[in-house]
Amino acid sequence: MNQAVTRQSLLRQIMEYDFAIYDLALYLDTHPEDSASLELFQQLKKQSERYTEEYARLFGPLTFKQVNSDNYWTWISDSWPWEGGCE
Amino acid sequence: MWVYEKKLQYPVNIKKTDARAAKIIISQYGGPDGEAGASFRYLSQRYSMPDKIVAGVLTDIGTEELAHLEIIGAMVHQLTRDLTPEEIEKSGFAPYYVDHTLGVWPQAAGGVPFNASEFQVKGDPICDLVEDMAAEQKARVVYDNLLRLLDDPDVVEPLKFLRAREIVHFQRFGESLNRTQDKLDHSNVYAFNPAFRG
Repeated sequence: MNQAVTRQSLLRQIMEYDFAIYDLALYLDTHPEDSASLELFQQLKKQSERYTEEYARLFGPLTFKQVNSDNYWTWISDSWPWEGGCE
Repeated sequence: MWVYEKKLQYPVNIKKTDARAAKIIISQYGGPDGEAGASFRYLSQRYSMPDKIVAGVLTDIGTEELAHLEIIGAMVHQLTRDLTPEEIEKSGFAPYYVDHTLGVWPQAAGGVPFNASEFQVKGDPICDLVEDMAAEQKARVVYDNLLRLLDDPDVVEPLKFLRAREIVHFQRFGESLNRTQDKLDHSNVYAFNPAFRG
C-alpha cells in the first residue's frame, strides 16, 4: 500500500467496507443460501482484513487484540472515536 | 462500534430447571445493581471523561458488562426453559410468567422494571468514578447474597466468576480515580469538576 495514505482516508475505507459487510450480513441472516451474496461477502471481507491489518501496522489498533507492541499498551494511545479522532 | 462474538465469556450449562433461582438471579439482568445498568453507566460516562486512559477503562469495562448481561440472560433462560405449568404455579413464577412467558426481561428480583434512574452520569470525573467503585461493590454484594441462597454448582460457578470480575473492576476504577486525582490542577484542592470549564 502507498505509504502516503493518510490515517483518515484509510479509516474511511475500512468504515465503508465494514458497513457494507454488516449490511450484507443482515441480508445473509435471512438469505443464508444466496450464493452471489456469499461470494461478495468473501470479497469484501478479504479487502477489509487487508485494510484493517494495514491500519493497525501504520496507525494503531482498532481492537485491543491488534496491539502488537511489547513495550507499551497502544490501545489507549490515541483519541477515542467520540472525540472526533476517527473521522 | 461493536462486533458480536458468538460465545459467552464464561460457560453456562445448567441442567436443572429452577424458577426460584431464576427469580432472584434476574436481578443482575435488570435490577438496581445489575449488568445492564453497569454497562449503560460506564459507556455513557465515557464522553465527559477527559483522561483517555480512564475513557478506555470505561469502554472496556462497559463492554465486558454486556458480556456479563449475556451470561445472566443465558442463566435465566436455562433455569426456566423447561418449566411446566405446575412448576410455574408452585415456584411463585406465575406473576412473571403471565407478562413475559419464558422470555428474559430486565427487572429486579422484586419485579421493579429496569430503569436508568439506577445509575448516574454526572459529567464530573471524580463523582462518576466514585459512583463506579460503589457500583462494583454493590454488584459484588448481590453476588454474595445470591451465592448464599443457591447451591447447584452449574449456577454457582458462573456467579462466582461474575463476583470476581466485580472485584477486578473495582480495582481498575480505583486506579482510574487515583490517576484522575493526581492530574487535578495544583490549585484545585477541593476537586472541582475537571471536565467543565464553568
